[in-house]
Amino acid sequence: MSPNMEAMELIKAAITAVDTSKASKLASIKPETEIRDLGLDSVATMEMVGYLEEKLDVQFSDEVMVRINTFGDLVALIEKNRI
Amino acid sequence: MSTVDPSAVDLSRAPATVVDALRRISGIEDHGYTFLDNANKPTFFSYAALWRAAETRGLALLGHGLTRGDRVAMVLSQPQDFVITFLGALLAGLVPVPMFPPLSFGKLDAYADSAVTIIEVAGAKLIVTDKALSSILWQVVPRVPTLKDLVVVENLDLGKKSPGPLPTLTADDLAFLQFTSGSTSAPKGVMVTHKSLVANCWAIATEGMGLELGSDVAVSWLPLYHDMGLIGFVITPLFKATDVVFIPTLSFVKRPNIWLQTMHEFKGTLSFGPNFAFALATKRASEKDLATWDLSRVRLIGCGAEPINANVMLEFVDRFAGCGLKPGVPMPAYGMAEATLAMSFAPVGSELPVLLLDAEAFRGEGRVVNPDDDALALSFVGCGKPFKDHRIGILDTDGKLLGEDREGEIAFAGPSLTEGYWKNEAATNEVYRPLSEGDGDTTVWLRTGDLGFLHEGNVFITGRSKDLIILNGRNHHPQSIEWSVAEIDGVRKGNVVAFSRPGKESEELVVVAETRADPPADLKEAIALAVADRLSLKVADVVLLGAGQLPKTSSGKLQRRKTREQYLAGELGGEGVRTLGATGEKLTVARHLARSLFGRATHAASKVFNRPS
Repeated sequence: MSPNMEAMELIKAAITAVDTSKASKLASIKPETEIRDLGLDSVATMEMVGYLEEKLDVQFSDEVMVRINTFGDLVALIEKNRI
Repeated sequence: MSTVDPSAVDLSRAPATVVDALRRISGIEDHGYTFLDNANKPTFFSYAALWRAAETRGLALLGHGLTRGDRVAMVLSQPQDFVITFLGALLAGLVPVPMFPPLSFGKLDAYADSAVTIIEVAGAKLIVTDKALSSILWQVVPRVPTLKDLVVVENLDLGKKSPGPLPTLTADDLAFLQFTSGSTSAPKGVMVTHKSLVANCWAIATEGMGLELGSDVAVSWLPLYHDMGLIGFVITPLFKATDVVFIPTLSFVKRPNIWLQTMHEFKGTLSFGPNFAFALATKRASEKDLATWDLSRVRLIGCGAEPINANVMLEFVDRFAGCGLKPGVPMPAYGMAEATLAMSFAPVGSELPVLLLDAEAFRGEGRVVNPDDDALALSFVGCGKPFKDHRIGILDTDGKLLGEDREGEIAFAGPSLTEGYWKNEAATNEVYRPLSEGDGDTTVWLRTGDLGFLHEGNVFITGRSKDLIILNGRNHHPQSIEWSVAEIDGVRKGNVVAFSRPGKESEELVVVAETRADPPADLKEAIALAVADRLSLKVADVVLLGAGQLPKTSSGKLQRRKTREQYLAGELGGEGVRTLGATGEKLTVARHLARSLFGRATHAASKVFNRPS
């Protein structure tokens, strides 16, 4: 699996952990898909971020997070923070 | 440094201002505020240290050319930055305007727009933010004429300071502006004076929570730009020198376990949260957490800011019973920014005050009647009685006081009532006014916009007549949701209604739209996506109707309340339309709730209330 695919798998695991009802939508996620289009509410979205931080043992700063729009952005952020 | 025994400080009477409240405990070295940072690292400020830090911060703010009464916009996500800056501004006689920081995942333009609107209304001269957020907030500065500068909190104390002295404040001075939460095109700033703050905080500290000097430890993750977190946990504890541990809000939202973990670690005795937080804590606690946590010291966890679901409270109590959590811990409370914060608290330590009533009599006539065994029952959670010297009344549609056990608009009067909305006389006069003209009684009552009834002096909230939709503790105006849906291809413009329905855990969003003749096949999905995209809200159900099927007034105005009632009764759009959450499910839920509550709560109800007759 490429690093990008691994990151995407991790994101999908995070989404499943916070909102099981999104399982059917996971397959359609593309890098250019906007994270908001998944329809998670704001609390679930932040819980998803918390899940990723815990798995990667990093802290994403607020300032970095607000500049992320698409799943591709999030994959890139994960890649940058992976040791 | 000498340690002052808090019991040697006279805290038996209310001070005149919040500054006086802090000043009289400014010698106490062994109690104070603990701030956790994003990595959970605690920093302790004794009340003495807090006083010194606030004094320095206040002089630094005045050093930026501000004078007494000037408004200061605060966008600070770290509790330590927020609390010291807020208290510093109060000491300096400035008027802080707490604002929400940008949430994650883009939409920065929309954030900047709403920040501009609030700062413009407040007429703030200065923004205080932190380094991380400053680049976003700098975009706002040139757009608001009153703004003179932006300063990052990390540099604030290092800059030029006023030589002092700090001003002497009076009870009538404006303390801060509380902008009402939620997305609306015209935000309103509630004017909170020291007088109403002191009245409300004193009532909360004494009657409401019964704060115990030296033995209580409060824990809060609540956002500090919101009244519940700010007044409940930054200001109220000053009146009794109570220890407080602050968790950054985002830490809680990212890892909900941190709430009770912190209660355990810091031997917390009290906290507060909206309904959704109880559900989240119950869901996310691991078996390991349950085996580790000691929650036996917890006296109360208040529940407010959104409709309270009795089942969620009971599941919370069940889930943590093994950690020593007492069943009477969840404590319903009722309040709003216009009443400073709190209007009523249920008694501390009593079982959940749940009242079951006959659904027919209530829905049909707004009367509270004891349900027969085979009748459909509705359940409501009681939020206690108003504080001493305060009154809660129920008004009929003509604005006259109703008796007990009748549903109407909730009104509130007393010394905690705020002064109205900043520079918005029209909005102020609409909701702050005497009951009726010409009868000589000039007592000003707040029209809360909420619906409810009184039963044996206890207030029960049954709905929001302002149609406000509350999701995850945040208020949303239905218009903003409806507008974003109205633009979608296939939807009949102006024929969209948004409201909330009770979900399994907390309120859920429902959108009903009339469609054009040949609506696109994926219209439901498109509606849900538009709401998610523009407002970050999850839609639980979308109902599509043909033209003319939404309930309207004779003048063609949409009737949200009626639409919601029809939806819940499964009658929307006439026969043949059966919706999710309609009759069948609703009946089952109500019956199930009635049964499970009767088992557990009849005992409590009989203690707290006589059943309605």
